[in-house]
Amino acid sequence: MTRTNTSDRSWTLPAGALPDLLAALAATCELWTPRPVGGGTRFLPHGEDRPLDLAQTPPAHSVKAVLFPNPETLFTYRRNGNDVALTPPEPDGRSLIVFGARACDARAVAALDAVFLGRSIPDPAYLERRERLCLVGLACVSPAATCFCHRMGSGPFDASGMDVQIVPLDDIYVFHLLTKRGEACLAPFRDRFEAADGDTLKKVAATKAGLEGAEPSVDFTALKDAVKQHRDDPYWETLAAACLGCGICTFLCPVCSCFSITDTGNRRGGRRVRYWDACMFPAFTKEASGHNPRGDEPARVKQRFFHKFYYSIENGEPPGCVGCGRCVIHCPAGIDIREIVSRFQPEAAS
Amino acid sequence: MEPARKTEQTPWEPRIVAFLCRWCSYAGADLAGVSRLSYPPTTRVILVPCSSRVNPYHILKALMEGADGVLVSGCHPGDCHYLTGNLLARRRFILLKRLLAYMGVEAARVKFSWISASEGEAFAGLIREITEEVRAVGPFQGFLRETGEDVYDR
Amino acid sequence: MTGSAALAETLRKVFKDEKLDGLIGYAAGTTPLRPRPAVFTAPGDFDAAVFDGFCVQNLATYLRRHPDRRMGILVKGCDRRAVTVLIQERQVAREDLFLIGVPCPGMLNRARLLTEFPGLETGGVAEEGDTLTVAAADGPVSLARADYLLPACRACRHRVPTDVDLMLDAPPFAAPEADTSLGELTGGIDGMERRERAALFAEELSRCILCYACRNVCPFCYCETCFTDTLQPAWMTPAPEPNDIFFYHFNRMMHMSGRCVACGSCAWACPEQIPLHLLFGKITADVAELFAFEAGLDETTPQPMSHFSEDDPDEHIG
Repeated sequence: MTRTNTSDRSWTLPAGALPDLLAALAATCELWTPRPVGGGTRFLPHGEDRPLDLAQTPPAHSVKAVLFPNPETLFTYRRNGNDVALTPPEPDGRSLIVFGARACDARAVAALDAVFLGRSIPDPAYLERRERLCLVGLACVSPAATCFCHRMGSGPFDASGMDVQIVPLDDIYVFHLLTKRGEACLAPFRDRFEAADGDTLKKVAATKAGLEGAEPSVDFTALKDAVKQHRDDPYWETLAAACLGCGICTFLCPVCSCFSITDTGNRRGGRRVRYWDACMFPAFTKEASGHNPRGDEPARVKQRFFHKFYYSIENGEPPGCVGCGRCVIHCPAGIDIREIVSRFQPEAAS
Repeated sequence: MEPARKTEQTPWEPRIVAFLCRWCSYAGADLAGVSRLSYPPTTRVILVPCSSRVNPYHILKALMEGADGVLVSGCHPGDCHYLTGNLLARRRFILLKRLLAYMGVEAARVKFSWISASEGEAFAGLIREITEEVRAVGPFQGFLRETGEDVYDR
Repeated sequence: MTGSAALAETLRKVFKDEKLDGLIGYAAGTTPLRPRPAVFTAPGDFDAAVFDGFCVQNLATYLRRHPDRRMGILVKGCDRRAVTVLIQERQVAREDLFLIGVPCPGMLNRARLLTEFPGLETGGVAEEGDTLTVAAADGPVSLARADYLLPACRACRHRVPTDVDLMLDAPPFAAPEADTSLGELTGGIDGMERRERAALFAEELSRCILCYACRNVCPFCYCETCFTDTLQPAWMTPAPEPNDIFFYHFNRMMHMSGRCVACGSCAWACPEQIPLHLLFGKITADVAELFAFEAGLDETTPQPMSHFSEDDPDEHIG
């Protein structure tokens, strides 16, 4: 991102001035900041009730939980005699700023876009938020042991998908303005910042250099072919031997976007609600006849990884994994997606 | 269920779903009726074969679907048509009642009683009593919330 | 015995000598704090075997996946009790099982350790006696093991499995026996005002995403179709709305009454760190108080919810 490393697009803010900046942003924008709830950190509508936490890597939930909330009311309905009134949620004219998202989560937005906006009819609920989104990302200066963004073709300083990228240095934050939208969001507060000088930019470059190239990226096309070749490998059964079939990996994944829709209410009124669904649940593919084409755990585990590393690539969409490591952190059965990648990577590399 | 919820015209009246066993409590309710005893028209009776037929699902579902209170009533211990159904139910319901209270649901929302076929007066009295208790705690707003953002005219 | 090499040898020997079809234990995971359940099916598999303070998950959950096979299983106190409940419920047969007992040292709260000591993911935790040495970012720190036990383990009074086919030596690390009880852990809530209790559970359960990890990790949630998944009748909608979240957790607890062995696997598996011990602790303490019953201690005492006494309490009838 050297093209943006000019002082007119790189601003600095003293670390102590961040709370005031956020308060000012929250006054005019819909602002989500990472703050601790119940032992984990997640993006919440900004408020003073809980302290900011930019340290937890990765936050418990990704940007997905903001752009594609669970549950989400698509519309409310109300019946009056023979009339039924449908009311969509009020559109929000303000910018939607998600503050402090890491490189992995920012990259995942492209994968969500492919699902919700990549077809002939964009998803209106997603589009409404996506059009307002200004992603103020945070360069990751202390990746977790479970992180593997390098291998997924990214890195802690990857700014793709971000409108602004913040790099934390000792006692300042360096804001790199990457898009017009990012500039527009921060322009009203220009006087709070100073232009970054050459020394600061050098420090940023040094920090970045220190974190790069830990591991080479996989070749996704080769990985796709390798995975396909092993479609009937007994490995999938071994892998699934401990799988509990819960929804943790899919729900916490910043890319997994399967959902279902239900109505809640009664004949007089109610809401149509969209909620996250998961290919790990048997009911996900159960057919009306009772037959289930993915009737056991190995089939479902295999499907999850096939979607991530085969179908998405085959369909020309972004890879289904950004290396955030949330599934690694939370899987009770210790299933580690990195092992699956490693297993096929030798073949992928050759 | 027809609307009994708050509108401009009619003030809110408690709505109570009563699961009554067919051998004792339902007959007790019947007796209250044929004896022309007066009690508030707040109950919607669901006939069940035995109090032990009532599952925690039924009780919670009734509340989720618009009831403000639930009553489960069966035969007195020893009088069960199936000999021990009400005794099994008694164990289940004490845990249910305690867990509901523990999780913050008002005690008045769910009541259990034994009413025999000859206790028409007791039935009418019980309905008067629980109607007032439910009235005192107000409309049920749904679980895990204190405001009824999701309550529709029902 | 808990040193991996010795453990591997012992398990391998049992596997061969007893001609087992499989042995359910824990294997090293990909990070130090994440040993994982494993089904060992060949002598070569056992090199990965481990047992440490992070082997929380109740292994009895996996038994039903191996019908008509002779299975070995590593059991802590709670796993053993879960096996007893499964035998009582005719889900497994004792004669098909070879139980390898390990005296439990009390399991550790990984989530809390990771929050308090960032960097632990790589460094890990050394367990020795009643002390933990954690490799924190700025150097090793010593902690009292007892302070970092999971809530269920702090209240556990049955750490040593009974009636096993082979008992392993106690590991060279352990916390002192129970310093609290489930009744104590939940009693504080009983003493709160109703609105406070409601607010507490509204706050904690609002994080629930209905991923069903708590259900799926539980040895006793083995229904062919869970009430969460039935469509006719649809007891609850599958979206994580307050009513549905409450309905799920409440009814799961009703199903656990008289069966829950308070292993704490559900609370441990929860990605949202919902303090589920407050729920299973309550139901377990109530069952103990009202019916003088603790699940999984013997196979002959009938389960309380399929049973009754004419003298049962009737405080709730009125």
